[in-house]
Amino acid sequence: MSQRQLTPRLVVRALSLRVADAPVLQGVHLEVPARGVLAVIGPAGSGKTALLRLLNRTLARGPTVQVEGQILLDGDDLYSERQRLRRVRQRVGHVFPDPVPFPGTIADNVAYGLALDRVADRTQRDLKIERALKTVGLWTRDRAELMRPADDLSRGDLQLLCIARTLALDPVVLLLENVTRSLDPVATRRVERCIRAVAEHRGVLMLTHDLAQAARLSDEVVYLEDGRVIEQGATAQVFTHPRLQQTEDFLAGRTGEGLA
Amino acid sequence: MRLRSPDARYEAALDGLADQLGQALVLAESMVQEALASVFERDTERGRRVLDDDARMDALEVEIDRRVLAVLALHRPVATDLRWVVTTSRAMTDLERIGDLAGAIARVGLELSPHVGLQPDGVMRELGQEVTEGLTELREGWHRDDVTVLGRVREAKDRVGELTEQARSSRLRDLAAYPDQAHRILALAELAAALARIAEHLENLAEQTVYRVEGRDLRHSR
Repeated sequence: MSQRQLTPRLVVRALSLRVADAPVLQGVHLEVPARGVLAVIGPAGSGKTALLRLLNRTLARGPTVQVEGQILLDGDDLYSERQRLRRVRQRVGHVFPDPVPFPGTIADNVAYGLALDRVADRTQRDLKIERALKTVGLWTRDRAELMRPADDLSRGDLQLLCIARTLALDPVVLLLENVTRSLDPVATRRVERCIRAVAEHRGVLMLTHDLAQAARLSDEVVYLEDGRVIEQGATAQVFTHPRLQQTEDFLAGRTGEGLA
Repeated sequence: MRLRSPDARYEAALDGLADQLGQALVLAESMVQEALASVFERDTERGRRVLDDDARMDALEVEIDRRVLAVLALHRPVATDLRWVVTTSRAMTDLERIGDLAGAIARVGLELSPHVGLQPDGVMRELGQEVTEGLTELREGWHRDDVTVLGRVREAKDRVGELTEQARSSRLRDLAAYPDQAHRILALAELAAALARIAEHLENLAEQTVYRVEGRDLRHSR
């Protein structure tokens, strides 16, 4: 195993976010492993989505958005002025909760980012499409199948296609934002298998409201509450012996119930 | 028979549990065989090995407990899989106690072997054979998901009960005839009691085999 595989490639240091002067994240530290799945869990409003969206600058600095701290990808500060936005989003891929196909065929969808990335060589492009579709389990040798409109796919397959579209750009880290939220259990399991396959080769940061999913899928877990990291550690450790009562209360469903 | 899930991590977790429990079954069987050999063949070296193996059994119990907790917390198994995980935990508890009892038998051997005096008789040897055969039967039945093992183990337990009673009568006669050998006679009684308790754990394990495979809870059903 090379040092690069062992070393976390995405590192968040003392990250704070204020939106319209209200604190959203406060002093968040975390490391996304070079391979494997890191799950971010926490109650609604804990800052999970904001954290995810800062990591590839979907949420950007502005007059009402103040970001402090560092987000380092292989040592590069993603918020430095030298970083081009398109390059950041290529290296830190992001898949959203609802699968939205682009117009065109299945193959067109996967090729979309490659065209933006100016991958002109057809052989190289086809190879990347094939590799991405194989990883998510949608590859077929039947060319006609790949030329079907993406709209024809089931919702689960559409989400897999969205993951393939992101993977085609060979991101260092993949951000997954509640990607199975709108899927049935069978499609959810297919997407989960795909996530584990992806995590064999790159770091995945997964935001989920489904604690059972976080438990069965992730290697490490971060528990956020009120914009702060309350606890993080190996998933088996956190789910069997959480260090803090706050974490245990959340995992046991005792958070936010207005208990006397 | 449980069907495999497409979730590779889940299957790996269950395979790991099965592997550890398989090791514990083999270890329990071997510990009892060696402990009995240490008594019947007056082989103190084999007795000491049993005591060393007890630490391995304890470590397996701790490891299986840890894995069971992780599987329940991380994968939330249901139905057949849930029974499979729960019975693994219960079976490990019985196996750990069998390990302790094998240790008790080995200590009897270590106590008796260096000295001359009353030796285990044919009834004790027969008792030992019933229990070791029951252990082998149980291990094979567990691996084959063979629910008929319960009937055979219960028959063996009944024979162990009869033999234990015979052994008790013999010990009482020995006590009257050889009062100077009281220490050895009590040690032999301890050996018979340990074997009878192992037979009870075998029945528990066989009942767990049925529960795991068919979902029928046959505890306390006799």
